[in-house]
Amino acid sequence: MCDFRVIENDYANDTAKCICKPAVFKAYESLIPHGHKKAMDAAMKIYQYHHPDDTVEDAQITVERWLVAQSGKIH
Amino acid sequence: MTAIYSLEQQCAKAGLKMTGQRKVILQVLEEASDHPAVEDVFARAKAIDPSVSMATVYRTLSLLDELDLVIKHEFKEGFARFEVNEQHHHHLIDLETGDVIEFQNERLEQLKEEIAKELGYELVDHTLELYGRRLKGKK
Repeated sequence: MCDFRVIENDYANDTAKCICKPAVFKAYESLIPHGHKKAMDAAMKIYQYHHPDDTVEDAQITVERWLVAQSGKIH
Repeated sequence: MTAIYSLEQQCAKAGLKMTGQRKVILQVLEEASDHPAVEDVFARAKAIDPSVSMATVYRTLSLLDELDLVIKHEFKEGFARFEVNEQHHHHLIDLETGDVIEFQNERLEQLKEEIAKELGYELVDHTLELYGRRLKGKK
């Protein structure tokens, strides 16, 4: 379960500021050379592990928003 | 379990001398998520190191092709595109840290073939990612 400690400088402006965010970024960036789908699947799995109550749609919106806020784009 | 080597490590193992320019070209190939043509590799390498020449890119790609470390695709465009000939491997993804660990496992490879065969299929392709959390007390 996620520890909802606030991360400073959360440019994504999300209500749920979770410490799983760096893990989501790390897995996404590590797997992007293998393609967007594989990277996104891993990012989603990590997010859903920390936020099991979110719907798939909500999880996807949050993860995509984080990734766009981080790099300005999704690969 | 077998270690996964980077392209640079594989080149070194094959006895290829690692100059700064070659390292840049290898970096470009490893970071490519598409199948770049020679001109693409040259442009990307030059953006990192302006001293890289087209001749060096040609020579390096040719050597990598000879060593079977890149796959040369001849599409109908009239020019070749390249991709890194990756060692077949799988990923274990740490759900808590996002760490991605690459691994190879011969037993797993055999098992996949056996499963397909038992179901009456020839295994053509597959994807497999493991997700886990580190056991307490394990570093």
